[in-house]
Amino acid sequence: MIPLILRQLRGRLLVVVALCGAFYVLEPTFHVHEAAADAADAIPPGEIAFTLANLAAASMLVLLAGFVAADRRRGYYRIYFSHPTRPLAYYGVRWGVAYALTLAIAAAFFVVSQLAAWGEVRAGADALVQPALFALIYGGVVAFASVAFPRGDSLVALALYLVTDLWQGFLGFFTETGVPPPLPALVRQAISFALPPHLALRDFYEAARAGHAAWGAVAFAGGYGIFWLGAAALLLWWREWP
Amino acid sequence: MIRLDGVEKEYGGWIARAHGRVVRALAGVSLHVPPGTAMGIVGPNGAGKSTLIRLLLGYIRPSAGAVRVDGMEPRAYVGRRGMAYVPESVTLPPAWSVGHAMRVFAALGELDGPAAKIEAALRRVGMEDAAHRRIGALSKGMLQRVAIAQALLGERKVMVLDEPTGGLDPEWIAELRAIVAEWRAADPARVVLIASHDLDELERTADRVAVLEGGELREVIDLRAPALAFPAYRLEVESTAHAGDAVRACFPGAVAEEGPELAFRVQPADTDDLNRRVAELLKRGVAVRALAPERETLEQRFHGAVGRRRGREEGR
Repeated sequence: MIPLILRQLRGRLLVVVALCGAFYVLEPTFHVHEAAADAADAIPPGEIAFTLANLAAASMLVLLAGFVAADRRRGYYRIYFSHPTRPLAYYGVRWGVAYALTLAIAAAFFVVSQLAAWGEVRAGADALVQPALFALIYGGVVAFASVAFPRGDSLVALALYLVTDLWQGFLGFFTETGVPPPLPALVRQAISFALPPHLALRDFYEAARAGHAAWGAVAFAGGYGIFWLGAAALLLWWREWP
Repeated sequence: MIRLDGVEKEYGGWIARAHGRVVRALAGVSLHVPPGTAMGIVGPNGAGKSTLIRLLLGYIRPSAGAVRVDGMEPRAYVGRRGMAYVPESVTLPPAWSVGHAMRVFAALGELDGPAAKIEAALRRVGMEDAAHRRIGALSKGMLQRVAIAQALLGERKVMVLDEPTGGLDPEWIAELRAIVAEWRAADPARVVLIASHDLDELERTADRVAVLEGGELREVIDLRAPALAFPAYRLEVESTAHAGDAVRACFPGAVAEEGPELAFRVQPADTDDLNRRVAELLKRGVAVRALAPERETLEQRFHGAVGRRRGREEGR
């Protein structure tokens, strides 16, 4: 089954490869050394972990877009699941293939981009933890949205990403300026808890720079993705087919 | 093999319930399909045929009652053993090739030696040269044949055909009949369910026919059972001046048909009675041109089953 899934993903893989090129161009860490050697030193190589994480999230969004929703909406499932296979197993394999591909692409990008920018690999392998977590988080969100909604699963995940970014900017503004935020602390915490844990990745990065591992942040970020994956699995098992 | 006990199915979630917009698709349907049976499912539009099939495939769950296939919940059964299924509207990703689609279905069924089985199935539906063709470029009939081919891939015990002749030309309708017969012959315990509006086709393919109407099972017609009553006969005689009177004398109660031929519907008591009366007719110098038993067609029985209910409702 896996080779057949890979074959179906060929077109989407090309999109992800194109995204790799875009992320390489947009990530300043790779280019500052061209302008000034000092600036290159000013941005730690480990910062590329965030670009890798964003690439991993984007890859999951591209590879998984509509992976359940389209089958349900267009009725492809009717023939698929008359064969002796379980929907949960079939979509589980599809999700796993997308996740493995994303990790492979992130790892390849990790090596190739550094060699292209600096001629050597400067960032440590711990920079691959963030993409693994981000892929899990957004893979989980897309999976749930794909089971829950008839279309727009990846757009839901993308919207959630942007809302999270905006929310953190919103909170950051009040932290930096000292202006009291308009919402009660409990509400702010609840919203931050519900949104994808982008800050957990920053915590992991900062801890790694300080020479220790932030396992709590890793567990929280991973748990967030696993929660949505579990919710997707439960909903897939429970929902009837249209 | 397949058993439905008091199956009900309502569509609509709690919001629909709150607004009283629940649609009852099946109401207390009980049906048993023993091994080796070809069961037709007929009914007017909205009778609940598609719901019944979706329940059997485990795509939906009954609101009440139980559906069992070989003693298992349908989804568990299909997940373990699969069903040979040809849907009414065949939808497959249009970018796939026929060969790729068949490889996917073979992989889903975890078939051993899939290449040979795919080739055989495609050959059986006359699509062996179309493996490279895109699904999106196929005609409706060819798509239907791909669906039939994938249904033939595994060693299944149950075949479900939902309006299988739609899009097929007469030649392929006959071929499908042959394919189903071959499939059944390979294992006499196999069960076929065919939902169709084509009553003539069902009469040729099915052993029994379940008539659904308004979500209720009206009747199960056994097409292979011997007739309980001695049949009526259509008697056609050479038209002469006294032929009509002679027929009425020999067959009191004969009903003349309208039309150019001098023909009657007669109802003998049994074979001896028939022969005795025909002998009497011949003795009176009437030449018999044709004598044929009347068999009630599935269409007549279907309309009878559906009409009885309408009559009852109108009588209320």
